[in-house]
Amino acid sequence: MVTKDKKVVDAKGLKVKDFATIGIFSAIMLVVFIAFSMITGVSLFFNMIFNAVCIAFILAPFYVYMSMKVHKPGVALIYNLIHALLVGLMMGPFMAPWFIVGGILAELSMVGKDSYKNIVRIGISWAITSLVRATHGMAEIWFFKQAYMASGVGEEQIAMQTQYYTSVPWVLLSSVATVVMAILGCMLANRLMNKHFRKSGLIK
Amino acid sequence: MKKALYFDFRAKIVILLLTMLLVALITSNIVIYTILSVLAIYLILQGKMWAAVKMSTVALVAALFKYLSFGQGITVLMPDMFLFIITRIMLMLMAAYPFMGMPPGEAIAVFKKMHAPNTFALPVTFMLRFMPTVRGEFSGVFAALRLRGLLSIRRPLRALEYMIVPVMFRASRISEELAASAEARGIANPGRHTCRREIVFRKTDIAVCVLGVVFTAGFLIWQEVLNG
Repeated sequence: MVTKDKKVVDAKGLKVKDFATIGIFSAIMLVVFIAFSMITGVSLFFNMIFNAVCIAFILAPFYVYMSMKVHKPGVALIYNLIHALLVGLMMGPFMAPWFIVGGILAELSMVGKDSYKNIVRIGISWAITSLVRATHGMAEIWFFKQAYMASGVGEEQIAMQTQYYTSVPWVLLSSVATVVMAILGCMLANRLMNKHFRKSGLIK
Repeated sequence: MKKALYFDFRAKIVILLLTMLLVALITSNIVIYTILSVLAIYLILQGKMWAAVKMSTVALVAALFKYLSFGQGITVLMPDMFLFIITRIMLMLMAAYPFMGMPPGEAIAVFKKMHAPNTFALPVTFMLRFMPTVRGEFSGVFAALRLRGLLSIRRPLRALEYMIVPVMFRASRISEELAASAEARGIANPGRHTCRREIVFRKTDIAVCVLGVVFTAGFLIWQEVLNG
């Protein structure tokens, strides 16, 4: 047991301060996400098509900082697992696997040495994470419609979601805009890292 | 005033999972608002009266709008879906609230007892500890920006930078302090961990779990009866 415990903490190189950074930044990202979604939730159209687009831009600096600060494998996966857990709790367990698979893909995009210090690689991983978030509403309609309907969503809502999420132009618009904003967010984040955090020595 | 009840972490998890099940399956409004009342009592029993009042009020205001609009939502600015989401989020927040601000030592001791992997348990523990203070971090920054007249929508990128950079600096410092404090208490020690608070599944925890299961079954049956 002792050996196993030690292995879990040390094997992937993640230390307690790394877990603290991931936990705390995930908490901030979650709170910003919920607050923003509650504000934009007043417009169903905006919420369906552009919520994830804006979130991809706003949260990018937190994700980039978290990745560069920890700069060890596992950050993308752990962040997405936490998100999957919370989505499972908030929206029903049927959506959690979508985020888990997204987390695995985001982590796979970071395979390689020093990828967590490379803004391009972090940008790709953030774009995958954001795209998974943007398409989760579509997945509800494409793959989990029965489970989603059983959760008590109104028929009008289902009809509207089906109308937009089965329309190729809307799906493409939302997905492409999310990826573009995720990349722009990472570019802004990289500027902020150079301007504030590298100078102060918080990240190397 | 009566002393607040303390429930074990695992009992709170059972209640959270049962609420998750109900939120995913219950569609009838009357059943949803009864669940809301039961969760409010659950919070009040744990001495979280203010949180129960706040969250119930938000959910009831959403219910009022739903009622006034005959389930159609208040124009395009407040569609039925928004009211639906608000009610459900409030239910989940009420079930999750007792976890917020739990001492990290206690959370870790429970996770160890449950044999949860550290890769998952440690970030979640730090997250639970930090979550209640996030709002305070942002409101402090907003207040400072407002005081200096820097909160402007004319330059959104600059405003965003002014908002997030101080929060990130503070969060980074807090994460280092929390990690150092946890390290000093031996969180990374591979040996057997102990906790000042006795981690025991008491009779009250068994009672709250049994009641949770009974209420859940009751709500599901009630829903079936209503659906005919």
